[in-house]
Amino acid sequence: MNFFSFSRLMRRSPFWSLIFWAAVWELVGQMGWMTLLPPLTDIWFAFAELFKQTAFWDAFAMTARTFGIGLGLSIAVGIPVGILMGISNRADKILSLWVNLFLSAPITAVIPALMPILGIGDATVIATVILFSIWVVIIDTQAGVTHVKDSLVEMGRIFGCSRWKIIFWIIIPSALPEIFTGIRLSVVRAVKGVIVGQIVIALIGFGGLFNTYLSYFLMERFWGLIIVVFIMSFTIIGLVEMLERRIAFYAKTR
Amino acid sequence: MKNGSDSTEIILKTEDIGVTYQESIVALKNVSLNIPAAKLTAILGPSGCGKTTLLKVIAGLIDPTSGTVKVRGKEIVGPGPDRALVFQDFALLPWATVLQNVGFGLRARGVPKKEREETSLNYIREVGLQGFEDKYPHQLSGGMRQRTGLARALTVNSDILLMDEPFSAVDEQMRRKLQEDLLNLLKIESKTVIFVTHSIEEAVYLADQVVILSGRPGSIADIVYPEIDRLGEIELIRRQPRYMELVDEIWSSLKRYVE
Repeated sequence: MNFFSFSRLMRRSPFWSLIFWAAVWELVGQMGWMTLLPPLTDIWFAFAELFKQTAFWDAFAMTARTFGIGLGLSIAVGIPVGILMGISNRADKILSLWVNLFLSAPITAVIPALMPILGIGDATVIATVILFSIWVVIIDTQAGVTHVKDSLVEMGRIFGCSRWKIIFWIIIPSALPEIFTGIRLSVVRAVKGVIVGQIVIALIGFGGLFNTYLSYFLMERFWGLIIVVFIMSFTIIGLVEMLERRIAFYAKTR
Repeated sequence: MKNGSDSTEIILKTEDIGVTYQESIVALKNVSLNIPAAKLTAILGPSGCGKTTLLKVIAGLIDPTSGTVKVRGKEIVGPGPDRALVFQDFALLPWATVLQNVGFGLRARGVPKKEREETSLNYIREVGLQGFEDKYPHQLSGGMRQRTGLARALTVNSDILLMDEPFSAVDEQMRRKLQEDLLNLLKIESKTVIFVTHSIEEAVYLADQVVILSGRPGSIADIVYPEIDRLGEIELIRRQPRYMELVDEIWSSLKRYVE
């Protein structure tokens, strides 16, 4: 196999690329050059160890709980706020500066400030998840609402729809593709938020585990946990993308 | 019937309508208009003359800066069940089927589903869309979309049908077909129609009264009564000498407003 066809194979199938890099990892690990990088096969065995530990399942439960509550609140609050900003100029003027500020602000820097207020526990992680994920829901919902065709709203008025009927029958369904994009992006950000939150606090959940493994030099478990976290993130994001594709026909037909 | 207002009831009246945008842009000025019942009135003018603005004022979608609109002597405040509108861009809900779109007006009024669908199917048949009830707007041609918009406006049984350049977004052949179908439909359904157009031919072909608006700010330049015999074969209308004369006459009066 010459190099050209090898690189083509890599590009064509992510699976082969994965296998290749896993092999490189294994080789480097087996050489024992770096103590921080154990062989991949050792990490594989560490998975089994990991799943036997109550500390892991406690951290998992905490992560799932804070992720769920934080993301749920972001969506439940973000969508109405986005709609309000889309239909009311006054709400837009009051809020848009803040939303845009927080959308691009380095939220991680704020977490240490949250700790003394909310304590070291679920509340701080939930707040981090919200701070990571809510802004993009608001922005995308607002964009969807402001792009609703004027004639559709006029149509609703002509046929005597109340304000609420116009919002629920015309504006929200019209804005649904953007709202779903917002939700997908917020899921990605919430995954980051829940991990970053725990790591910055460093005492609870996966953050606490990472910290313990690093300080006791349990590198197999450390890497195993990282892979678990990656797989969890990709699974959640993949699920949301699948859901989004189901309603993608809206966007095409508008 | 030289003057349309002599023999027929005036169903809608605009009195001294003025619309000013952003405190300085005057879109309409002193528009006073009588709309005879069960007749077709065309509002004709160059683009940007405020004809759509005038129609939206009549529809109740835009509050005029000055003046009033009265339906049967009663001043309007916003849209009402006595007026339905057909939109230039059809304004169909892309996620709803033809049947659901046509029934939208009835649904907004709280008509139960069964009754709503019955009425909708009736009008779907009347506009020639039978067999397409379960299609979505993106599966329809422009002409069919506008038929859906027309059926939706008919279901609510308003006396006054407002049409905002209804046939401008479809091709020429389809436009002619829709115009003919509209005339045929109006033989069955007694409606007062006010429609906006930039086509002189369309105005003369369809209307009993043609209101010509001058350019900015829009005000009434002239009112013409085509008095074309539409009782016979509608295919023959375009061959009548009166039709051709009028098209010329209106063009010569409109020419000076077109820059």
